[in-house]
Amino acid sequence: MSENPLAPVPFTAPASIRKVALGLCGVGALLFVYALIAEPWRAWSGGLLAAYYSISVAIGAGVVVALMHVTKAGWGVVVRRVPEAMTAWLPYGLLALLLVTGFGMHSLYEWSHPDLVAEDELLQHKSALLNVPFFFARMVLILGAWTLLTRKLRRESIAQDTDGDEKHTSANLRWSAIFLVVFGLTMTLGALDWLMSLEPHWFSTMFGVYQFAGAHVAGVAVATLITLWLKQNGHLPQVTDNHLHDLGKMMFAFSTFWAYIWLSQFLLIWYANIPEETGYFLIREDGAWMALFGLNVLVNWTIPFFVLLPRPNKRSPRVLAGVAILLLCGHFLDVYLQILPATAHFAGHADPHAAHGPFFGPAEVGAFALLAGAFLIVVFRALGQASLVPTRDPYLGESLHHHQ
Amino acid sequence: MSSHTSHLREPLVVGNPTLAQISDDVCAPMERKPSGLWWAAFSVAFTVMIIGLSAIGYEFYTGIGVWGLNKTIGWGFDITNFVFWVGIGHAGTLISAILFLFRQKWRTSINRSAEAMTLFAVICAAIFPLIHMGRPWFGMLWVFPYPNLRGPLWVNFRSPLLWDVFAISTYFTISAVFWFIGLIPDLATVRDRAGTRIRKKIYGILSLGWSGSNRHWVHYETVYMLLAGLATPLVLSVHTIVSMDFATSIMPGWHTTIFPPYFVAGAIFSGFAMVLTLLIITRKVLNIEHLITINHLENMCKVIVATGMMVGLAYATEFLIAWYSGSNYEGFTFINRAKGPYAWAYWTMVSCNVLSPQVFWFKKMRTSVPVIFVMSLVVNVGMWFERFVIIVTSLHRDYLPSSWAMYSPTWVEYTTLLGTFGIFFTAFLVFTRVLPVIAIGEVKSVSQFAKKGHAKVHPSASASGLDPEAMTDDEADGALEVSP
Repeated sequence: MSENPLAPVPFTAPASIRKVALGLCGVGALLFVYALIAEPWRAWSGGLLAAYYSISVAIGAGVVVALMHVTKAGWGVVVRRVPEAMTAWLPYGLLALLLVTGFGMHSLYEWSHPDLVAEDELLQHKSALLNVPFFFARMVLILGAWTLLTRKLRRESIAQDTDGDEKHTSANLRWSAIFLVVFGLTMTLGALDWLMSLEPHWFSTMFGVYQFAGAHVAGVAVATLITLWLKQNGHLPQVTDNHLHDLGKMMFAFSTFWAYIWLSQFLLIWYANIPEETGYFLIREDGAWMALFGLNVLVNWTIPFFVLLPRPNKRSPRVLAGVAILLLCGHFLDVYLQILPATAHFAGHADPHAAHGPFFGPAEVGAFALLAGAFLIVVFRALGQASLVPTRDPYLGESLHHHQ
Repeated sequence: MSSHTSHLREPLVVGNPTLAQISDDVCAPMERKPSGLWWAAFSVAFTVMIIGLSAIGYEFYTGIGVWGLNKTIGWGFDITNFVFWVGIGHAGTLISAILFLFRQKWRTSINRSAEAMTLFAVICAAIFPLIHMGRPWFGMLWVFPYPNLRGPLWVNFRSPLLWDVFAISTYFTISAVFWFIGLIPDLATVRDRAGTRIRKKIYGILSLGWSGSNRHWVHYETVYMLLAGLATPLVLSVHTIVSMDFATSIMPGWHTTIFPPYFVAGAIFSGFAMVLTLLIITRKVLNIEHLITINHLENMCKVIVATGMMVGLAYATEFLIAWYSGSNYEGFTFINRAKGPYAWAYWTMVSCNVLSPQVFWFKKMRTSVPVIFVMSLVVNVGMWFERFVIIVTSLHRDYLPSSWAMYSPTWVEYTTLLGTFGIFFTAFLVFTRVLPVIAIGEVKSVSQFAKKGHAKVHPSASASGLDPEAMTDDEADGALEVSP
C-alpha cells in the first residue's frame, strides 16, 4: 500500500536447507542409478512419477497465483511470493521430463514401439497424435508456455516492489486470464500425453480435469508447507493464523474437488461398464493393487476432509503441516497409481516373469528424492531473489490486516 | 470497507446513500401501488402462464402422445427444458453460498433476487419430469421409496433418475430455507415500516419476531454460514446428477466422463445469463441502479466468460477424445452433430456459448448495458440448444439405421415451454412486489456509509442491527460477512 510502505523482507536460504536438499539429491541419484541397472522399466516409471509430480506441484502453484490475480484476492498478498517462487521450477521440470521420457520412452510408452503399432489398428489410428517427434514438440510447447507465462506473472509482481506502479497489477490480471485459458487447453493435452497415453487404448474426457484437481491440491499443500516453515523460522511474521486459515480452506476445498472428480470419473466408467473403459480400473483393482486404490481416496480426501472441518484445525500450524504432508503423500500415491500399474502391465507383456504386484523400492524413491532435492534448491533460491512480501502491492494493506 | 481496503476496489454502492435511503430505495416498490408497466408485464406473463397451464392440462388429459416423441427419440423438449431450467437455478445458489464463502461482497446486491429466481426455475424444471411420468397423480407413489404393499418392489435406487428426485428436492428445500433465513432481518425492516395493520401482521409473522438484538444476529450469522457450507456441495451435486441421467448410459454422446463438471459449469453459465436478463430490467424499473451497479454487471460478465470458456473446453475435449478413442460410434456421433441434419442446432450452440461470450474479454463490452442484455439472451438460447443437441442428436441416429428418425416438436411442446416462462416471470414479478429484491441489511454492511464516523443512524437501520457508531471499523466492515 503506497501510504503505508513496508520495508522489503529479504531472505537467503539457510545452509541447512541446502544441505538437506543436496543430501536428497545425492541419495536419490544413487538409488536411481541402482534401479536403472536392476530394473530399468521401474527406474523410468519412478522417473516419470517424480518429473510429473514436481511439474504438477509447480503448475498447481502457478494456478494459485493466477487465480489470486484474476479474483483480485486481497487476503493472499503476503503469501503470494511462495507459489510465485515455486513456478521457477517449471523449466527444470521440463528438463527432467524430457530426460525421463526421452531415455525411458520405450519402457514407458507402448505406442513408441513401431512393431507394436504395426499390429494394432487403434494405435495406428492414434499415431497422428501419439508419435515420438510430435510428443516431444508438444511437451516443449506446453511446458514452455507454462514457464514463460508464470515467469511473466512473477516478474511483473517483483518489478512492482521497485517502482510501486499499479500497472503491474493490471498487467498481472490480464496475463493471469491468458494463462488460465492456455492452461486449461494445455493441461488437457499434457495429461493425455504424459499419463493417459501410458495405456494408449484407454480414454476418458475427465482425465485433464482430474490431473488439474490433483495438481492444484499439491501446489497448495507445498505452498502451505513452505509458508509454515518461513513463518516458524521468523522469516515471514506478516503471515497470521488468518492466512493459514485460508490456506487450510483451500486444501479442504480442493481436496474435496479432487474427490468429486475422482468419483465422477470412476462412477461413470463403473456404471456403464464398457470393456474399453473399465480395463483401466480393472488392473488397478487387481490383487494387491486394490488396497492402494482404496487408500488413495482415504488419504487424499476422507482424512483431510474430517481433519480440516473444524475451524481451530485450519488455524493450527501443526495440524495444517500434518494435513499438507498427508496430501502430498496422497498425491504421490495418486500419480503412482496412474503410472505403475500401466507400466508394470506393459513390462509384463515384454517379460512374462516380471512381477505384477505393487512395487515400492529404490526405483520409486530414487528419482523422487533427486527431484525433491533439486526442487528445494531451485525454489529456495527463487525465494531469495525478491522480498518475501510484495511490499508495494496495492492490495497489501488488505492482506496485512486480514482477519476472520 | 475498512480503511485498509485497497483504493483499487470500486465502491459496491454508488452515490453514498445513507442507511435510511437504502431501506427506502429497496422498500419503495413494495410500498407503492404497482405501476402501469408492472401491470402490463404481469398481464402478459400471467396470460402466457395460463396458456402453458392449459397445455399441461391437455397433456394430462390426453397423455403425452400429443408430444412429438417417437420410438427413437424418447426424450425431447421435456428433458431439454428440465435441464435448461435446473441449470438456470444454479446461479442463485452459487451467488448465495459459494460467493459468500469466497467473501465476494458484491454478491450482497444480487443474492436475494438470484435466489428467488433459483426457486422459480426449479419449480419450472420439476414440471417436465412430472408430466413425462404420464400419470403424474401417481408420481408420489412412483418416485419416493416408502414401505408399501407391493412386496419387495422398490424404486430403482440404481437409477440416476431417482437420484435426481433426491438431489432436486434437497436442493429446492435448502435453497428455500437459505433464502428465507436471509430474508428475516429484511422482513423485520418491512414490518417496522408497515403503514397498515394487516401488513404489519403479515410481515410480523414472517419475520419470526426478529428484534435485531445482538443475540439474534449471532445466531443468524452462524446459521447463514452453515447453510452456505451445506448449499455449496448441493450446487455441484444437482447438475452432476442431472448429467448422470445421460452419462451413466452407454449412448455415444451421452456417456463421457467429463459430463459432471461440464454440466455444472454450463449451469452456472446459463444461470448468470438469466440473472443478468432479470436484473438489468429490475434495476432500471425499480430505480436501484446505485445498488446494482455496473460493477455488479461487469463481475457477472466475467463469470460468464470464465464458465463459457470451461464449456468450450469441454466441447473441445469431447471432440478430441471422440477421435482419440477410435470408437466408430463416438466418432460418428460427433461428426454427425457438426455436419448432420441437426448441424444448425450444434452451430447455434457453439456460436452462442463459445464464440459470442468472447466479447466479454473487453471492458467496454462488459460495461455496456445493451451489450450485456443482448448477450444474456444469446447465452440462454445457446444453453437451451446445448441440451437439445446433447439429447436429440445423440438419440436420432440409433445403432440400427432402420430406426433413424427426426424429431418434430408439436405445438403442445412449444406451448408448454412457453408456459414455463410465463410461470417464471409471473412469480418473479410478484416477488418484486411483495419482498425486498435486495438484501437490505447486507447491502448496508458494504456501503460507504457503514464506515466508522459516518452520521446518524436511522431507526430502520437499528432494526437491522447495524449501528455503525457502535461498531469498530472492522466490525462494521464484517457485520454480515461471517467467515467459515
